[in-house]
Amino acid sequence: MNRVCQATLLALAALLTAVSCEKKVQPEKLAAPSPVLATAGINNATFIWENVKGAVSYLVVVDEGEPISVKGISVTIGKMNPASEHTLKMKSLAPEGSSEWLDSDFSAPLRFSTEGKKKLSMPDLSVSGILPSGFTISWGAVRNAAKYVYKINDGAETQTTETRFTLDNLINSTPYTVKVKAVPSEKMTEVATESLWAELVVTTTGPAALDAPALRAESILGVEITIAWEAVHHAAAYLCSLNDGAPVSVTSTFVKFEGLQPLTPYTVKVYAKPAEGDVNYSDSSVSTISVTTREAPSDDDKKGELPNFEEKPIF
Amino acid sequence: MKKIVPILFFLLPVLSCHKVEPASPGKDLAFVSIRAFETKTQIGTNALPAWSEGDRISIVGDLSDAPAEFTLRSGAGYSSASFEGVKPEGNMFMAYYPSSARCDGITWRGLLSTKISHAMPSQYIGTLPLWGRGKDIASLEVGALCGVLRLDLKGVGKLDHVILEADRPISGEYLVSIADGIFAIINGSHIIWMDAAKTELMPLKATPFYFILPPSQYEDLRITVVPAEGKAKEYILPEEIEIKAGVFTCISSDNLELND
Repeated sequence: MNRVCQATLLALAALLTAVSCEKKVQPEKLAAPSPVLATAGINNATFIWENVKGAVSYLVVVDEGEPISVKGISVTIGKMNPASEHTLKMKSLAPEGSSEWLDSDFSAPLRFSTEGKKKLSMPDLSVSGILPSGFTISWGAVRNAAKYVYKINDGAETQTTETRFTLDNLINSTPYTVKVKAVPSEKMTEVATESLWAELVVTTTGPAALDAPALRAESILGVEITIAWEAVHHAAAYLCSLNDGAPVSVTSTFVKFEGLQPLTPYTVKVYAKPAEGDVNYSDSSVSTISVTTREAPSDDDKKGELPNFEEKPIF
Repeated sequence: MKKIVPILFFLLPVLSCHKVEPASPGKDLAFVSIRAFETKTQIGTNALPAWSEGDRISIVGDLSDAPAEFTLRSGAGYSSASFEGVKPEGNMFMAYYPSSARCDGITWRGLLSTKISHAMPSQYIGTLPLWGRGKDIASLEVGALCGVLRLDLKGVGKLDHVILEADRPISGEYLVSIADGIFAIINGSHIIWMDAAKTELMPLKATPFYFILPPSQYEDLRITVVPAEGKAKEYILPEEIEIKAGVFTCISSDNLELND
């Protein structure tokens, strides 16, 4: 009987040992993956994580939404708003019916945000043709820009689809602050915003002096002289004086002085004047010519007279 | 892959014709080209990264678990070179550089150094992570997973160091998905510290400084230039800048704002 009891006890012990051994091969929970943000776009984000041993796939949940099943070790989430904040959590999935592995818990939520809309590049401004009354601003086309907006001294904004504009009617020797920004095209407004203002300060030049007239004695007689010159560019009139007397204004390119004394030296001074209101130019320097009248008037003096011109006292 | 070579376009055919030696017994040859960099610059030349003597790449086959290491056989100094190793099993092959990075067959880990040196010659850009895939190891093409920022500095005097600081991690440990080349910094630092103790700036000729950066849109990039003697200068970018993988982005100190 004792032997029977002993045998029974041994059998029970063996059974218990076997049961306890079975408990030791209970399936193990997989490790949770650790996703990292690889790239964030305007409306998407890509994540990558290290492969988890034993996992056959992964379950990704964004913003507590519908789970996404992923077989690889990366996922791209799309259809999000620019500059929006989100959370992502995920877990490792064990093979179906595995006696060795169990699904992992979800990883700690990972906060991420999509990129904001991209600002267009600022126009790269350059200036040319600086005059006393204006200048031209130009720039290279900005990618994805449909138009540009510019303003002068923070005044009214003007739109243009060109990549240059010219300002005129400005004041000479005056600084002007020019600002230009690029504006995205309609189809790009989903992902891009206006550029920052590009700024350039341009000072208009002072007026340029007209060229001095190059004088020549066209005719010298006993009682009259005629002085002539080539037309000066941008000159509207010429002021002429005899022996520093009261100047007279002419629009022609010659001046005639009459009623002079024979055999007498005279000095004629002439300078060119721009049109009134033409801020680009200023008076020329004074040109001088000295001539001496002939001995006495003769009949010859009356030959080849130049036509009369209108004399107008200035002072 | 240690330097970037500015090469005029007409030289390219010459460069792709270097001599290829046969593989050693029991080894296979892989022919790997680096995709040329796109340049966002005004310099008007094409920039090609080049392989260096002793370079090693890893190739993973879609039917193999472990990466096989291939060593440069010929082609140092060129953007296309042949590598020698034992071909892994597979119908599709993924190649990556540097091969010293840790790899489990699915992901690959590497390091973008936080502390680097301004090397001479100045074409040196550092270890640029490269990745590519193809059906034939005899013609694999790899492309850069990061972009390169070239900072052109002018000035006077000797430097001590240059610090590049960003609003997001730009150096440290990175992880790459071998199947598709997705790249991410996983344990990163927001700075790159460049030792420039042997560098002297010139007032008229710009000295280039190369930084390998993860592709991203950087909103706040700061550059601190610390001279051997005198006050450091901090520059900030006037606007955000996008660094793209495989793209050279050049910035001149003339276009930076000095942050007093």
